[in-house]
Amino acid sequence: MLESRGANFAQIERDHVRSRVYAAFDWHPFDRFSPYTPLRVPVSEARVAFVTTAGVHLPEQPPFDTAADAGDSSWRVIPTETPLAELVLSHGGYDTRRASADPNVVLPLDHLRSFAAEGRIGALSPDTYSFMGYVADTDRLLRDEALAVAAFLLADRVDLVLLAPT
Amino acid sequence: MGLLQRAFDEAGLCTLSITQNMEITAIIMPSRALYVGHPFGLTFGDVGDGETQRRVLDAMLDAAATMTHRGIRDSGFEWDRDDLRYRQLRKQGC
Repeated sequence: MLESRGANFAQIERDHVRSRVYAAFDWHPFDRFSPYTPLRVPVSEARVAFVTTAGVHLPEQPPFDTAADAGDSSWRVIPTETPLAELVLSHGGYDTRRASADPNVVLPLDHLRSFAAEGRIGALSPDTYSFMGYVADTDRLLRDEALAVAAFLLADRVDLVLLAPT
Repeated sequence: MGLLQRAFDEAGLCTLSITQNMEITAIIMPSRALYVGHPFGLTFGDVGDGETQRRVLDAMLDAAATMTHRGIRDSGFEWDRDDLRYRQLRKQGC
């Protein structure tokens, strides 16, 4: 079904969050793109990391807080070799039943592992980083959490970070 | 997602994200994003549709290698099997 490109879905989303969850919510607008670092090696040689906001975590890790009005800016480290069947999801912003049935729809680790085995990417980072996509109060996310994960990615010397929302 | 990407960009990492909502990404302005018109919760494709999931991942890798300017690239992936995405965007169902 065609979606109307004329509708302002950012405004619809903002109004929805304001009316249902967090009255103080607004977008954090920017007037320029963030810096772009080119990929310095061919994809077939690149060390690739994956970051998801699907609310994925290991069963022994604490679930994300889906009840907090301002959201949850915390994150979980998932060993990239973890079988997808072992992962669980906690996210209030989308219906997780489909992703529970097939986690590759939000976290395609099976395919990334195949790509690495086939030589289409150089290697996978040993860790995957998971956030829960609803974070209405972004101060802590920007001040602490995002920088902490960036430090781990830099320490791991990844060439490319792929990010996927839900 | 866009704010996370901005932080990673500022740290000097090479990044490429998927966006499922161009309007929001146009506000946040991360370095490079690939638009995929799939429903929320089905970012890479439908349950069991490994072929589409791999194609979307391929498109991400291609964009990472070939997008030499900042902005949003339209992948061409759209969702026409039902009205799920249409309802999600309008907050009429999940």
